[in-house]
Amino acid sequence: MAGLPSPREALIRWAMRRSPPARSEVVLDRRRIYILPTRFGYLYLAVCLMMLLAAMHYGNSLIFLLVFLLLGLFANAMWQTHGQLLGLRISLHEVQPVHAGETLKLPLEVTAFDRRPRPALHLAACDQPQVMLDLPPDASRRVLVPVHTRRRGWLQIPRLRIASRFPLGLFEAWSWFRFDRKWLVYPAIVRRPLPIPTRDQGLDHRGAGSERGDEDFEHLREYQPGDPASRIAWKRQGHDGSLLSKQFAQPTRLGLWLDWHEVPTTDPELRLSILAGWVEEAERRGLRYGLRLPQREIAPDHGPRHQHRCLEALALHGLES
Amino acid sequence: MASNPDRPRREALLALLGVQALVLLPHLYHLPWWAPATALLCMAWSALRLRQGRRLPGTPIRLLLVAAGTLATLLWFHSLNGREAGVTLLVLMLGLKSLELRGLRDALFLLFIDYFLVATQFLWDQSLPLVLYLLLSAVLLTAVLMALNDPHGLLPARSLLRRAAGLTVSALPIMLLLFLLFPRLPGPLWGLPAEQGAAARTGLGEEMRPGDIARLVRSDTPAFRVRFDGPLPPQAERYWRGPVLDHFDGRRWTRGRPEPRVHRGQLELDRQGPRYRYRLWPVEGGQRWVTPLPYPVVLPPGLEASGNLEFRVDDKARHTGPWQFTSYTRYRLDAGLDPAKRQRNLQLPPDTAPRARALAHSWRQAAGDDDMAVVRAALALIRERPFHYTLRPPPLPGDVVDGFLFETRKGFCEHYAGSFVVLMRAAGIPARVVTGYQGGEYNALGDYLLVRQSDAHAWAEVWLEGRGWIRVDPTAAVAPERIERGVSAALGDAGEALPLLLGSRYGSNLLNRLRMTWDSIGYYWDAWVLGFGPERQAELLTRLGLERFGWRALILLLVAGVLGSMLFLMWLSLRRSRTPPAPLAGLERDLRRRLARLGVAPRPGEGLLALQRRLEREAPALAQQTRALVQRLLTLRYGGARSHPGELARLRRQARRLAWPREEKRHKKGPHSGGPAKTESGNGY
Repeated sequence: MAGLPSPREALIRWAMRRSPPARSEVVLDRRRIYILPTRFGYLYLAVCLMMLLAAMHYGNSLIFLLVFLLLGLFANAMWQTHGQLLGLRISLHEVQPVHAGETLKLPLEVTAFDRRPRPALHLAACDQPQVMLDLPPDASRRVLVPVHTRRRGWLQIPRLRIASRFPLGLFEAWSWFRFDRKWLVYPAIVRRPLPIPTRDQGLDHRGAGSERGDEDFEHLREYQPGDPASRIAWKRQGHDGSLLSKQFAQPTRLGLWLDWHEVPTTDPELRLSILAGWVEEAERRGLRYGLRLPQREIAPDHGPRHQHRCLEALALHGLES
Repeated sequence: MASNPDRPRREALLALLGVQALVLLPHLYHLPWWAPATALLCMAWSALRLRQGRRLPGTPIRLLLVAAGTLATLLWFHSLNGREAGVTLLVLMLGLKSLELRGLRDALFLLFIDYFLVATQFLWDQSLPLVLYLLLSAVLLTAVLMALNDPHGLLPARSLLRRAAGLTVSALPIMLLLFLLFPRLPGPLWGLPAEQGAAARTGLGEEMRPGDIARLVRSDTPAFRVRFDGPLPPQAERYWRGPVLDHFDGRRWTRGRPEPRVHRGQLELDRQGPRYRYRLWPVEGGQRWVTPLPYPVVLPPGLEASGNLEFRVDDKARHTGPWQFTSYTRYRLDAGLDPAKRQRNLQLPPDTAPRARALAHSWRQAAGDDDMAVVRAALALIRERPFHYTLRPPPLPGDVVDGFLFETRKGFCEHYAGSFVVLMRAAGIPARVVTGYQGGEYNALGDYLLVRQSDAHAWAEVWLEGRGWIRVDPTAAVAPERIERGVSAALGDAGEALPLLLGSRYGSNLLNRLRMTWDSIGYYWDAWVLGFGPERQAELLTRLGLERFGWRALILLLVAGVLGSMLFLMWLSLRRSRTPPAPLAGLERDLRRRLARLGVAPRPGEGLLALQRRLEREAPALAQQTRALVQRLLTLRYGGARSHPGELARLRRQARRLAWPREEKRHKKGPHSGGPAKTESGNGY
């Protein structure tokens, strides 16, 4: 019977079949909510049983009454805990891509439409640390659910889980849900020194830019409209509070080819990571850079969109036919 | 931010300690005082540390304290078994556990012990006020449990309390159902060491010294209640029989050697006279003696009768609820008396009461063989000499009997009964003292007879050849009204100040009515709550007409009832829930429907923007109203905006109230320009 999934897995699969993935929002209805006693709940029942035995033994009506009151509370707590999740709307917001190995913070918005306060809702992606959310009555709260990324490429958002134990902690009600959305994960970044841009690379550089290590900063001048924001010296300001721009020795117009074949390694994943590091570094320095991959070439440019294009190409390299 | 759920709020932990103190307080009454006191000290220490945010004492100290607590319990009780020792140990451990109150787990553990401790209180005290107190504690415990599950304190304390009370109240139907229908078994599940009821209890003791019964009489607490099937016996017949005292040491009457003959079940005595069927509820549980009217024909299970016709509770059979009796008040006990028993009932300590002995001898000589004449002579003495019936007799320093009979002549029933028996024994007539209760007050509200501790009484029995033991009540000779009308009448006539409540017993004032009402609440509490056992359950089934089905009916009712209660709880919970409005689709549907009613039906396949454009052309008055609505609808659907809570409902109301301005209504209202809107939602455009 090696091929069979564990009961838990089977249950999850069954549950996921019952409620197909949503595009951007799910509403927790009765079909989606599952509930079981917690370990504390079972212990509570055990204490009740002990008290019941004592009541029977001593024929003590008041102990009977107390036990039955506690059992009534137990039954009541089940519905109350169930109600903690019932009718919640969970919607998914847009998110910035991250690099593999980093944690993606999935922005979810949880909205309640009734007058029930909902403390301590726990949200988690499958097998990831959970975050806690307190949701006041008739309100909406945003929460960032961490999703750890391991590989570059398209990340299918994992199964998510929302759970509550309020009010008595005797039961846990939970719901699984999934969004039919994919997120791009850039390759992990490995930092290496940038290659030296040369004339051979056929770019319109002016003069022989000499590599002077990482710090090419030369002097500050008054900020002029049009200077890239990345070059504003935020820490230093003019006497009148005006902004200063960093001036670099290398001319801004100098272009750079980030070439797959020039990366000093043979491991393809490491190559991609180094390239990603170069892209980040070049963008940080405000260089114009182009990307050359075995099957693809992106002309030199700079700016966030260009950076995204380059990183996307790296992320999907070899994954899409 | 304390987002770790295993780290509850400090306020919740402090609240837990506070409620725990409330639960512990009543235990100060019946446990050795040092145990709850130690626990409370530990809790105060823990609370102080928590408030200051300092660390709690380390493991070695706690282990040491655990060992000390166990040892102390062992030394005190010589055992860790049994009710008192067990609960003492539990209380000590609760206190020590409070010293390691850190995480959620510790708090929950404490909470369990607290619930358990609430239950153990009922082993000692089952009075209504205590139950209300503990119910309140249980609600508070539930609120604490909720606070522990609300780590950031989203709910303020007041709403936690309200919610806890609400949860408890909605748990009541299930509680009631289970209480009435959960099958009750008679008797204990396993044998436990019998608890010695040596602790001071109000009620009859097993010995009688001058002043003992007088002390009881000052207590107004109920002793037991009796409900008769049929007529009540007359006041003078209401002798509730308790322990028989046949040994006298000169000052003190005690039960002599335990009577070897013990009866269970059927009692065979010659009987005659009227028959009374009744049920008797002792007010305090755990009493050793039951005091029925003599003599009950069949002893209920769990009760045994000694050869002296005393009724003792069998310690091993833990009886709950009422005792059911059928009694004949005329009977003959011990038609023949064996010599040993005769000897015991003639016993007198040497050198006591010389004057009384001399008097008795003189009567015996005058009467010859006629025992009855001796009895009459003694009663005549009490009736004719200036004897007084009083609660406050002067002290008797020397010989108790002689001092009373010949000097003070002031006494209470125990003086009269004791001295009378001494006189009889001195005259050679076997005699003994019987203690018990005499009288009782009828409560018309609850149709029962209430017998209080103040009805405690002592009388005498003499053995006459051929007639057996005969009851003689010398008190009746000095104060007949004691027997006819009760103790307060007898003392009141003598001008003795009595406690306020006792004195007003026979008044018909408001105070008395209130007292009777309060007592009948106590009666129903005893009869229907404390005394609800297998018998009552069977009775309930009979009343429902289901007795033929026995326990199967119980189970069936129970299952049906619990299912019903679950549905009720579900309804309670769902009533408060609202699901989000079917987003946008409902709003668009409402808008289209309203427009159709106003005569500008959207065309099939017409998108919202197209519709709005058409409205601007054809019905500018409406378009003006719909413009913002359509704009918002589109933003919500395609602009990625989220609606504010309650916004959709407002927009829908707005859509449903669209109307023509008054002047345009007249000429614009015509035949519908299109069919009713078929498209409802999801119109692409």
